[in-house]
Amino acid sequence: MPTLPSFLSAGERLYRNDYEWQTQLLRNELQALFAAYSSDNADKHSYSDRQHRTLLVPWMLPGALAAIMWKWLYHGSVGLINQMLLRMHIISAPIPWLASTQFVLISVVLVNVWRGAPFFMVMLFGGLQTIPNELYEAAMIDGAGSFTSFRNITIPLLKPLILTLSLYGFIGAFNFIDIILVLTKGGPAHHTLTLPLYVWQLAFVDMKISYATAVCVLMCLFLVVLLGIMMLFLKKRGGADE
Amino acid sequence: MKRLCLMAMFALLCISFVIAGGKQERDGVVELEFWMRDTRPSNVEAMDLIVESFEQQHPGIKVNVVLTPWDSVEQKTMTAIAAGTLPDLSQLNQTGAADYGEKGILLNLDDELKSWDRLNDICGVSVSQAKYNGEFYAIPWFAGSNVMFYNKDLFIEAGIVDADGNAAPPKNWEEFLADAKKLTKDTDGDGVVDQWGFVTRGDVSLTIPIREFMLAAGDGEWVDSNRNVIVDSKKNLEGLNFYLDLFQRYKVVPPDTPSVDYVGEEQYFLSGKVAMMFNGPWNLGNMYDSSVNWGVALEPKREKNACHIGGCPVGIFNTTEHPNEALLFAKYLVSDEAQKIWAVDMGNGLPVTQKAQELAKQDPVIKVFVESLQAADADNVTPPPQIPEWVSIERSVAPPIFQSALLGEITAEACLAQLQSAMTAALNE
Repeated sequence: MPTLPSFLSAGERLYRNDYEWQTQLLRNELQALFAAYSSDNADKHSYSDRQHRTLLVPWMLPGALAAIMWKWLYHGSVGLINQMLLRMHIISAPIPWLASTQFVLISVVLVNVWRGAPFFMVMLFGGLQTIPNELYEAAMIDGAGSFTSFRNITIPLLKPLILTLSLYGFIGAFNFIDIILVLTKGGPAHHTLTLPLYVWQLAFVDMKISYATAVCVLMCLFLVVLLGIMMLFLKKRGGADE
Repeated sequence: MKRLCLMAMFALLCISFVIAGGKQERDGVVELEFWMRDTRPSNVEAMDLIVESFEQQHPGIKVNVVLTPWDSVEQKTMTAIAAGTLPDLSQLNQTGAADYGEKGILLNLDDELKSWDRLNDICGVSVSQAKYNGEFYAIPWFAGSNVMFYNKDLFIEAGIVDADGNAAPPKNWEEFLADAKKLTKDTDGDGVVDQWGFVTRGDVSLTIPIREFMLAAGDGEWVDSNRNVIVDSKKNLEGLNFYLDLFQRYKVVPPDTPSVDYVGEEQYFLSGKVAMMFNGPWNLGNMYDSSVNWGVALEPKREKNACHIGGCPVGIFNTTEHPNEALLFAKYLVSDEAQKIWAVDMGNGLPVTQKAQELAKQDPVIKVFVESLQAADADNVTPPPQIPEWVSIERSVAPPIFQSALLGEITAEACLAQLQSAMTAALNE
C-alpha cells in the first residue's frame, strides 16, 4: 500500500514539474487540429474508400512499431527526413531531431499526432455525414461563404462530437507512453518525460512499486477532477446552446 | 448423474494441476529450476549441452532451464517473491548479489565458498561480483569486458598505420583523440561531415561509457566500501570532461549522440561511417556477419588500462528445497568443462577461470577481450559497485544529469556535484 510519505513525495515531484506537461497538451491540440483539417478535406473532396483506408494505416499500427519506424526516419544523420531536407537544400546540416532540446518535444508529439489523427478524422467524418446538405444550400443562398458556413453550421452541429472527442483525446494524451518510451525513453535529460513514463520508470527501473502506485493514484485523482470540471463545463455550455 | 460427472472431472483437473505444478521429486530425482537471462540461440544451445553433461554426471538431478529475458526478469522476480514461486537458482546481473542479497532472498554461501579450492582459479573481478558486504551471496559464472572495435579500412585510408602498413589503433588518450580527429571528415565533398572517428552512447544508457573514461583517468569509483558517495573527484571530472569534449569541443562523434543507444552505436559502426567504438563480446555475432573490415584492441589508456567489466554470477534463492543440489549445479557452471562450452566454444561472454581463459586466448579476437579483462584486473579497475541501488543509479539517477551536461545545460563540475547529491539521496532513501 502507498504510504502517506510516498504520497507527499509524489505530490512534491508533480509540483516540481519533473516531466513535460506541454507534451501532453500540445499533442492533444495538434491532433485535434490535424484531424479536423483532414476530415474536412475528406468530406469536401469525397475521398475514395482506398484513400480512406490508407489514411487509417497509422492508427492501425501498434505504437511501438510506429515509434521504431519513426526512430529511423528521425535518425540524426542517415534518417530519411534529414536526407530529404538536405537534398531539397532546406537545411545545410542534418538536424539531430531526437537529440536536440529544440526539436525533440515537437518530434515525439508529431509522431503521436500522425498516429492518432485518423481515429479523430473518421469520427468527425461520420459526424459531417449527418449534417443535411440543405443547411449549406440555404446558407449559400443567403450569401454565406465557406468559412461562415463552417463557423455557423459545421462547428455548432459537430460541437457535441468535438467535445466528446476532446475528452477522449485528453485522456489519451494524459496516458501518452508507448511512442515516447521507444523513441527517447524520456530523454534527453528528461525533456520528454511524461507522467506515465515517470511512473513506469519508478515501478520497473527503480522498482519503487509503492511510490509508483502513489503517483498513479494521484494521476487518477487529478484526471477525475479535471474531467469532472470539463464535463460540468460542457454540460453548461450544451445547456446554454440549447 | 451429469452433475456428479462434471464435479469428478473438475476434481481430476484440479489434482492434475497440483501434480503438474508441485515441486518435483519423482523416483528420487531432484528437479531444479534455473532462470537464465541470456536468451540468444547460442546461449540456449550452450546451456543445453552443459545441462546434458551435468545430468549425465549427476543422474539424481534434473535441471529445468527457464528463459527469463533481461527486459522482464526483474518484474518476474518481484512477482515471484510475492507469490513465493522463486526458482531454485538464477543468473543474476553484475550487481545482483548486492541487490538480492540486500532483499534477503539469496542463500548466504560464505561458508560453502570460502573453503572452495577452485576460488583461487577465478579472476578477482568476478569473485567481487559474487559478494555483498564481504560475504558470498552468489557464485561467479562468466565475465565480460569491453574492448575497442576499429574499422581497419578507415584507418588505412587515413594513413594511421604501423611500419607494415597495417591499421594501428591508438594506445592512449592523446593518440585516440588525434586519430579520431583525423578520421572525422566529409567524404563526399558536400560540406557536411559524414564520417566520424568514434561513436559512443549518449541516451539513457550513457553511464557505462562515461564510467569507462573515469576509470581510464585513474578513478571511476563512485561509492566506497562504507557506502559514501565519492563520485565528485578530480579524476572523475577529467574522465567526464574528456567524454563531453568528444561531442561538444572536438565533434568527433555523430551529432545525434544524445540519442544514440546500444543499437544506434552498433549500427553506426556497422554502417562503415565510424572508425572506433567501445563494446563487449556480446556484439561479436553481428560483427562477424558484417562486411566491415574490423579489428579489436585494448581501450586507449590514460592512467589505467580501463574498460567496463561486466559478467554474471549465479544466485541460489533461500526458498529452494534443494540447496545442496543447486550449489552443485552452480559450481558445475564454473568447471573447466562448462566454462569451455559456454564461453570458449559458443562465445557467450568470457570465462572466469585461468585455465579456460588461457584456452580462450587461442582465438585471436577473444584473446583481446581476455587481455582487456586481465589488464583491467591488474590495474585494480573495478566493476560497478556492489550496492543494491546500482541499477537505479545507472539507469535512472545518473542519465538525466549526464545528459544535461552533454547538452550543455550544466557544466561538468555542476554535473558531478548534482550526481554526488542525487546519489547520496538515493543511497539514504
